[in-house]
Amino acid sequence: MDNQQNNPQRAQHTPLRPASQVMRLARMGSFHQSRLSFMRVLLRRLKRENWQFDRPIWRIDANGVGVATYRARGPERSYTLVCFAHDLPDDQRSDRVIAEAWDATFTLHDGDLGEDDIERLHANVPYQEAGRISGAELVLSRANRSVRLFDYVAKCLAKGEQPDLAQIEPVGYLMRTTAVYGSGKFGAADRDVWADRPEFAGSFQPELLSVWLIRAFTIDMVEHMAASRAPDTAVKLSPDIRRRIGVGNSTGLGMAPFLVNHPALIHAWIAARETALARVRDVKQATSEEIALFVDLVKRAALNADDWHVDHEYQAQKISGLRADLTALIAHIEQSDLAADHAWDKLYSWAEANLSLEGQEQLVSLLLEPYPHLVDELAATMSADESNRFRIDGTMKVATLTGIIREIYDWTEALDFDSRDAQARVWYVSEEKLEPRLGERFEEPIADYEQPLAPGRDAKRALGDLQRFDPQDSIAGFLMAHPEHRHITRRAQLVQHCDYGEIRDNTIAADMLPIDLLRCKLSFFGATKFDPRSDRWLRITMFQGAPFPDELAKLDPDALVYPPAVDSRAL
Amino acid sequence: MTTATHSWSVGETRSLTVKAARGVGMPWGIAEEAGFALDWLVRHGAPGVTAMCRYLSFYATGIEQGRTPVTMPGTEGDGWVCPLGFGTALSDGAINLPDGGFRLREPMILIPFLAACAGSGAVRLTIGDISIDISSDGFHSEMIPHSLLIAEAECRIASIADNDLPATTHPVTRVGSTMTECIAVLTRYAHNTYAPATEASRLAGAGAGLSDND
Repeated sequence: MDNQQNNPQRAQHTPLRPASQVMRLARMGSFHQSRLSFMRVLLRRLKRENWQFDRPIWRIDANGVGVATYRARGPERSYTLVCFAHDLPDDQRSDRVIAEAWDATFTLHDGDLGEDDIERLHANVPYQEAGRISGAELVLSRANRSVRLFDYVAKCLAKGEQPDLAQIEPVGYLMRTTAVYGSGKFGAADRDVWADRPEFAGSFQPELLSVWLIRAFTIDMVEHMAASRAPDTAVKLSPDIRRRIGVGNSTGLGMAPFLVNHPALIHAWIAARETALARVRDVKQATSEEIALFVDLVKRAALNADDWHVDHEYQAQKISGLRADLTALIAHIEQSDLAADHAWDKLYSWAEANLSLEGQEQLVSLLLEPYPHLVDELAATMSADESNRFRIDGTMKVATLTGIIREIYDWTEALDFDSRDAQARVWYVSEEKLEPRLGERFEEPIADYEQPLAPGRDAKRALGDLQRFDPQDSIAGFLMAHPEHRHITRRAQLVQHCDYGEIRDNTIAADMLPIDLLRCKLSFFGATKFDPRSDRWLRITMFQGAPFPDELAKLDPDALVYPPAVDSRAL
Repeated sequence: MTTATHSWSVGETRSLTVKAARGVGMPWGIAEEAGFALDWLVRHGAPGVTAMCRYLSFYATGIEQGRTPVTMPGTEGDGWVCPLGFGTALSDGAINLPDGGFRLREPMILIPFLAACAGSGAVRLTIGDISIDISSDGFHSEMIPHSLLIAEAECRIASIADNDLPATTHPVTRVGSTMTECIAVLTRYAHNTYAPATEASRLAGAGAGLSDND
């Protein structure tokens, strides 16, 4: 992964942080977006390749019902987001994944499309999971309005006024998606159909292209509704205010098992970020421009933390810690000589000793910012082809597998999986919701439906049975006798080559917090403003601050991720 | 809301197969192999969805009747040799290719596992009087793929020289609407992995009780 030839500044060799440090849920639940986040990777590419955007169809009526399309045209291919706008009564507005109606529904079509496609999609997309899309579609999604903010902004614009940023910032979006499905789901094209396209290098690029275009649709909708109400007085949003509106997302437990189910992919994500950190820590001497950018961004990150308000006590405490961390960090860098040799490495070490996990991981993200030439190329490594079967090496000796399990799952040694607390939870899929959920093993009749999402417990069980075999026996024989250990055996053989592929924490413990899993994944997406609504679902904001399609050519998306400094915000 | 032109991606059919295999009682690790086998067969132009649908139906009925699937030919007694169990044991290297004939249920399902352990060579699977030549790249038979749908037959496996193995069949990347019935069967078995809702689970939920209108 590490490539010294691409890193001429690398004078020392900071080791990557070990998986035992990084892959703990408390730390993963403190990750922040970074240069390597997939939204930023997407916008950098679209800008670099000078993609063009237009809105071929806008057939939305005065009630906000109809169809619109947004087209993205790149060097080789085009994609079209098809948006269906609906009139949804307030009492049907549910963020739960089992909802049956939404304010708007979307699909990303592969290429340009004709009226026959629109007709076909109109008969399916509004029904979401109950409809079917085709191999010509890449993504299926839907969104609901933030009624409060949508109506407020529409009213302001109708009166010819701009909305107040103080009203916008705490919410951050006009609509929030409640699911964004890709990779073959509900009939969409399989990932391998488009995985080799350069515009989709990395992870979740079709999904995030959809979300970014959805953001433009939400703005067009609110301006359209304002103009419908008051055609004589209505105005459009001013660019600076508009840019502070992102797209929301409401995410629950459905996303949590992802990190456990995709060890090779998670390894690729984390390894890229850790490699980037090690490269920056290796920088011998920072330039004055790099230092100035870093210092500016630390201050803007502090503003971001000030604007981050949540009701949930766990996250509220973490944010409070983060604010204190950033204050301490600002004080520390004011007294430090950042132009000294290996100042970044020293700063990181100081943070480990003095800041909370939130602050440490915020610093990691900030340290990457001044170094596009060391960091950005790593984005291309952040994917994994998981479609091929990982074939178990049956010739491996029992002793070898035992050694691998003992090493990867050494943290289970202290755990007693016969105790209630260590196995209090069960990951299962409910018949009612067809979505992953987390239940209480000793309070509900769900253990028979358990999903294989407790690698630590399963590894320890396998270890117990392995001890009854001769160390020189082959795993093939062990698995014939114990097919129930086949899943964890495959996993251990895979993860031995993927350091960061396994979470070093008990995913069925009584005190496990699913929002830590969600936060980790969403930070890699590039989400901000994590707003836990309980310990198992949350809302986030995506693309807040980012350029819109009509301004991407003239703005630098990476410069807009953190909120602007105070002076320029006083509009 | 499906239409006459609807189809399924291979990926979602594979995920459904893993759940269905688990739903009829297979361990997760074997259910994953069922997903692999389905994927390989479909992509190589074989009627893998039908084969898997038929086999999982047979498996579910067999378990209901108290019969037991086994891995090793010759040990089946009142049960049957499971092509997934046998296939994974061959692919793991737990057992060698059998010298003699053996009876196998839905032998098409064995093909992907023979391809996985063919290495740089090739093997011939003989099902009754039908021959299928298999390498890591694919398979070839004189018969059209649908005639390889055989419920149970006497089978043999032999290594062959691979130098004249014809090119593999046309890759298939979608599961078409003719598979609707089979998908429905797989969906029914997959349903066995879903826990019935209880009052407690509704309450605990994934965050029930908060307004979504803001």
